[in-house]
Amino acid sequence: MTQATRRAALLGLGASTLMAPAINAQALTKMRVSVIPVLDVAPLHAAIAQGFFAAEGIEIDTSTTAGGATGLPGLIAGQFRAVFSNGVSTMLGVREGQEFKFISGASRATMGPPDILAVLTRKGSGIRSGKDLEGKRIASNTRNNIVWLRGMAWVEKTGGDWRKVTTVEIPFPQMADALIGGRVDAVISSEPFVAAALETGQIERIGWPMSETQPGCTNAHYVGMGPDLARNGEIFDRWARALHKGVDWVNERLGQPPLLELISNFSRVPLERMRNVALPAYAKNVTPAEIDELVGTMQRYGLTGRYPASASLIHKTAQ
Amino acid sequence: MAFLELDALGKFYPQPGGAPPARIMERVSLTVPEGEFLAVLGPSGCGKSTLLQMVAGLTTPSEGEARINGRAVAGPPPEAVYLFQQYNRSLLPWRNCRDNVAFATEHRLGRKPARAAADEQLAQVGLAGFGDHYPWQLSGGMQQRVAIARALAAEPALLLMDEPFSAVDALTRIQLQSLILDIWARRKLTVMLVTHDVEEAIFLADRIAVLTPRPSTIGEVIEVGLPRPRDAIATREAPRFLELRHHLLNRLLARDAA
Amino acid sequence: MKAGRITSGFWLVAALLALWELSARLHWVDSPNWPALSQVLAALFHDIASGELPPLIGGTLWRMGAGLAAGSVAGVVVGLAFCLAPVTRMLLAPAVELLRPIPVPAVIPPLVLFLGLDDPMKITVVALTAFFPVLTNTMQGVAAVEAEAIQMGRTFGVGPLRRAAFIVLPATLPYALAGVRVALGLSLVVAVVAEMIAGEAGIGHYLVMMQFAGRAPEMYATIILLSVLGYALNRGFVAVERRAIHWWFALGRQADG
Ligand SMILES: Nc1ncnc2c1ncn2[C@@H]1O[C@H](COP(=O)(O)OP(=O)(O)OP(=O)(O)O)[C@@H](O)[C@H]1O
Ligand SMILES: [Mg+2]
Repeated sequence: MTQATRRAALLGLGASTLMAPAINAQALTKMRVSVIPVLDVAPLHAAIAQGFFAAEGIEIDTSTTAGGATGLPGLIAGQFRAVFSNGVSTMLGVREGQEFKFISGASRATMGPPDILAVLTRKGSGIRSGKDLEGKRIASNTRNNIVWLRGMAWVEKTGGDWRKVTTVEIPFPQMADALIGGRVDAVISSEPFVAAALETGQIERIGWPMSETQPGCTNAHYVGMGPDLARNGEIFDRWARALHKGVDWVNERLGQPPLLELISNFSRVPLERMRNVALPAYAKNVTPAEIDELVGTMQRYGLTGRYPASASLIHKTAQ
Repeated sequence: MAFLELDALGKFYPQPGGAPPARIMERVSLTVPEGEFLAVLGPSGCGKSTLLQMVAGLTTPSEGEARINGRAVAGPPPEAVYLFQQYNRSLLPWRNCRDNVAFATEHRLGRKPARAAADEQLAQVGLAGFGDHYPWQLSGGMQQRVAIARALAAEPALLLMDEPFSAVDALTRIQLQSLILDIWARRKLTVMLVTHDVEEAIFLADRIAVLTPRPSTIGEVIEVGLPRPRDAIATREAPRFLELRHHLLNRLLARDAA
Repeated sequence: MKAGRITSGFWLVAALLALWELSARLHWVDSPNWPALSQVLAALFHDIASGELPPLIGGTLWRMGAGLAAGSVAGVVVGLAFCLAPVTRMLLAPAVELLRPIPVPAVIPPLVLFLGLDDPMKITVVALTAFFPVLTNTMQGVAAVEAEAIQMGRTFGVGPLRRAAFIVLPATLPYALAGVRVALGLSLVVAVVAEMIAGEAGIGHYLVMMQFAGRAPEMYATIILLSVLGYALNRGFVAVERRAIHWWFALGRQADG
């Protein structure tokens, strides 16, 4: 009894002492965003570092997950307000009835090489095209994601039958070793692992799966939940404004030391390597056309099903 | 009203594999007056421990009942303490001797008084200064003394002893027997001692109840009639001692052979 | 003889480490993911001295310790309850047995749903991992308690709760601690795995970051760190165990197996 009262008193005390700073920080909305430690999320980190979010009254708490395994599930579970996700995973969720909405663009392929995805083989393997890969093994970090999809498109574009190529799942960091060790014949890799693999001198690049098959095609986006957007649209307006200032900041410094340093800082990729790394095109918006192209490609490579009209999936902050 | 009454005690034990329960004891009746030293003698496996446990309230009888001061035993009675056949299993190896003895009373007296009393009890069984030793640092005879000290710490009116000396060497056994007799006389305890050792029974007891083999019952009750105090050497050479020894051995061995 | 064994074991480790250094320096193994031991140690000392690793280590150890403590206490309590109050066993044992075979990575998504991505989830994962070995060993330990010891308590009029606390629990402790020792090794691994899967905290997150950054020396530094931590934790635990249940070792018993 006395203990309960004492605890209540303490709580009251705690609440009143917390009040003071709370008034100052009143405007700060906390948002947890799931990201992957890849180059594509540079604008988000730039916006945090430059104080763009703070200026909009938002405090961003990033949660970095390998391969994005907990990203979309965490979004559904309400652990995140926004998730950086590759387009294929997002659309597969949408197909299954999840209320995902694109709240911002994140990255697209460049219009021509270099871009962030590459097909790599062992030097001297003689493999130069999708045709050469028939009956052989190719590695993707995950099956049925954007990397795999663009890789299959490249196999077909270069004369191969994608059904005759066996896909093996290998995380990006282990791809170079798997290739050198002869456990796979080719890998679909992503920057900065491409740059690291090429540094070994035993690996060569034979293709650009995005810019060669569909220049400027869509890659990854920020995704939110429909009901949350409907209820808290204003927060996401502020969030997108801040993020897009980050996109501008990044685009103004492409290839320049401040950007490379920023990326090196959040991703921990050594700065020397960053100089050889290809960057994506950083996007603010998502267009129905790019989603339609994505869905069309997914249907073509076996990820069939009924997908809702793309325009209905794009929140106003991404238009 | 007698102090301790055994009234037609019987016991069945369930058998493995669905066989009907085995009767191991039937119609054991006996009256023990306060202050008596009673020995129960019987061949191994005849149910001596079972009988004693029924008196101690550690096993429920299948038939009949045991009464102490007229109250039927149901669960361990406050008057009685059971001294186990295997001291090494009933002493707690994580407690030193003092705390082992204190275990008997600390739940009633509190830790501190129980410990103080424990040192006294240890001194009484000749283990003064061994309070800080752990049981496994002592010889078997010393461990049994600790167990005796612990039993005595509870200040029982009835001490139930299950072959307390069967696991120690012959000389130690004789010393412990004298110790028990000494304590029994000083504290005016009632003792029920179970044993298969004929000489032990004669040397210690006022009366000896002889159990038959399974299903066992009381075959004979003998008045020992040897004078007290008894002497570890002289008593064992007395004609009455030898006569009883002859009679009991004859009886036990003849029955074993039959 | 014992000292001799330690020495020869030491030489084996030293030889393996030397082999590691040479294989990288002389390019016997030629891969960006196979740095020399000296580079790895340099990375390790750098990130410790820079103050980056110490709080991460602290965080991981805290999550591990909290989970291990919670899981072990639960394992002992449930184990005692299962043996001493059979009703609890009837009610709970089926659920426990169904949970037991589920691999930890499989329980993380539902736990994320209910507990989020932060400490509560990670500590729960560790606690779940620790719970089962401790439970199993505790039950084994209770089964091994001498019937005479319990009867002894009864004959002195000691009540059931006190018997559980002062006879069954101490007698079971060596078994429970053997379970905790198994759980200790698992806990560190599981805490790191949970950190690798979600959130931005601890050694596990650092390891993933370094993997994705292609920083092989830091990756291996983490592995060395974990191996040293695991070893030190085990040694520390054994030392504590030797004091806590000295009587058990004096009796020359063995609880594992
Ligand atoms: N829990 C039990 N379940 C089944 N049978 C039992 C049980 N306890 C004892 N028995 C049986 O009852 C009989 C009597 O056992 P008890 O231990 O009372 O004999 P005892 O006369 O004390 O033997 P000993 O001299 O060897 O100590 C034995 O044949 C034993 O096999
Ligand atoms: Mg017996």
